[in-house]
Amino acid sequence: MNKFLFLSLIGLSILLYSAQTEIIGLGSIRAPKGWPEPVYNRPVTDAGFVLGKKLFYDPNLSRDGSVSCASCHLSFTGFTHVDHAVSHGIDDRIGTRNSPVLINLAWNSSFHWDGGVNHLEMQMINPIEHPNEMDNTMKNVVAYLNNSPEYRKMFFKAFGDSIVNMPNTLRAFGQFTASLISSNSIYDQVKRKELEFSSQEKHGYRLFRKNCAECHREPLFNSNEFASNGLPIDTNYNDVGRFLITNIDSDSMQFRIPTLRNIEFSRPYMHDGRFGTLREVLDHYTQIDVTKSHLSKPLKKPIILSDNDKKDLISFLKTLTDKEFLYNPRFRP
Amino acid sequence: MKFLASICTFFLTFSVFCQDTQTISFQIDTSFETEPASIDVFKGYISNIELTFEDGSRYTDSNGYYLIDFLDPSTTSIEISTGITKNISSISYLLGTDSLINVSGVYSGDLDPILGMYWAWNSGYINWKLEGNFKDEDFTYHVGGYAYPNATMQRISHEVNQNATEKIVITIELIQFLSSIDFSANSMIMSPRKEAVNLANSFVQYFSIRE
Repeated sequence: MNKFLFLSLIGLSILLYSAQTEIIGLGSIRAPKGWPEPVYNRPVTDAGFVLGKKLFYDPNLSRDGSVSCASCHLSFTGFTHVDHAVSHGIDDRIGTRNSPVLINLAWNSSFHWDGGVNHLEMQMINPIEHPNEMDNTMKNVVAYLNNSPEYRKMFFKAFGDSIVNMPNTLRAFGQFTASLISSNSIYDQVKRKELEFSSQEKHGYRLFRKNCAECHREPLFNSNEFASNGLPIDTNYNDVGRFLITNIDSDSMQFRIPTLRNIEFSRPYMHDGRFGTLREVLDHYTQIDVTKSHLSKPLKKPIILSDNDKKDLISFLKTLTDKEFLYNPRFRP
Repeated sequence: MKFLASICTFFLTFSVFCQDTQTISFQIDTSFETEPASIDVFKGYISNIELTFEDGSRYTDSNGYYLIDFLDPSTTSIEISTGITKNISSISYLLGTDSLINVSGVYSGDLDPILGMYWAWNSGYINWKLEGNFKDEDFTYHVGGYAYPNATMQRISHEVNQNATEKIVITIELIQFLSSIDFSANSMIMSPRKEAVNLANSFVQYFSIRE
């Protein structure tokens, strides 16, 4: 009898466990054809994605209910804050950096312009708690979520636990943001041989490969590295970038090499949003003082582009626009 | 992970396999009433505990991450179910968390970042916190950092020369440690940097098993 009880208890715990995996599910972010494997390797489920999306668009996560993540990361512009050099958060307080695009984050090995955050799940603590952004605490957020029957239901669906805690909140955010994948631009369609570049775009692509691709690597058009691109420091902010994280002198003035996907719509550009147009960006790269000591290596040889070259290069950069991504109703509330 | 946890609980409940447990507890060597110090916060992670037995065999508590509030006696003991009844000859553990834990996203339990032992802006756990006042000097130490050259986790080892292996008591000579610090140079450390590494290196010398 005792033995029977023992065995049935084992059976029961296995049953309970498999029920739980069903809730959690085993889906994950899959690499489009020809892409490297994603860095983010957590399970992603519909319930987790939907919950993460709800959190992303919920202004009640901020101290006074005024701003949500989407306030600075709008879907139509590649999830950035268009026309704002640096973003403003709660009480219109402004930050010191341009809000980055949220595109193909599952392939990023670090986050923020200075790479200070090492995992997508851990990123969300920062904007929620930063005094210039949402100025709240994770404790408040968890308490707010626990007070909402609707959220509790959603957490149960996503994680099999209706008691909201910080780890599951971060996991849900991770699942939503990791799912923001842009892989259907004109460039992608050309690579899949469904379309062809115009002759101008083709020339622009050649110029891109010669001058830009060493840092902005295909197919993601970024690299998980940091570089000093010769911008003089803005003395309003005195932001020295990656040095703030590593305390290594040579990391001073180094910033993330961001993706160029959907760059047509993600203006303004650079870590502090100092350039409003792609033309200004290209003008900067052709005017760099290559003798500067902190300049990253690939930029130490001058980039030479004629006016027409710049136009062609910009026409190529516009092939990185992915309308399906930008207007995807699945990413909107 | 969840599965393993539930199975272990299950076994524990029925006491079928987890026959022996080992308790490791921490104590501060002094009462602050008689010392020129007041300690407001003293918390830290103990992890990756490894026990070596008389015959050279080992038990590694690889999934154990314990957040100890050294000022709260109800959290200063760690109980490990080893299932082994041999005498212990030495113990070693990390003061802090290992680097893998620091780069692998969010964890629950004692590693839940809501417990205030996590840096969000420069990802990683705060391995230990010590705040207070010593000889009229205020100090705040949040020691963390997992990556070279600013890794601050420290492995501490002790010989265990006792037959009564049911409880291992580790003493931290806090007053001696505080006496060794030059507060004029470093009274505030709250980010991964060289000074934090030096402080962590120094601190572990004040952990011992008293005979």
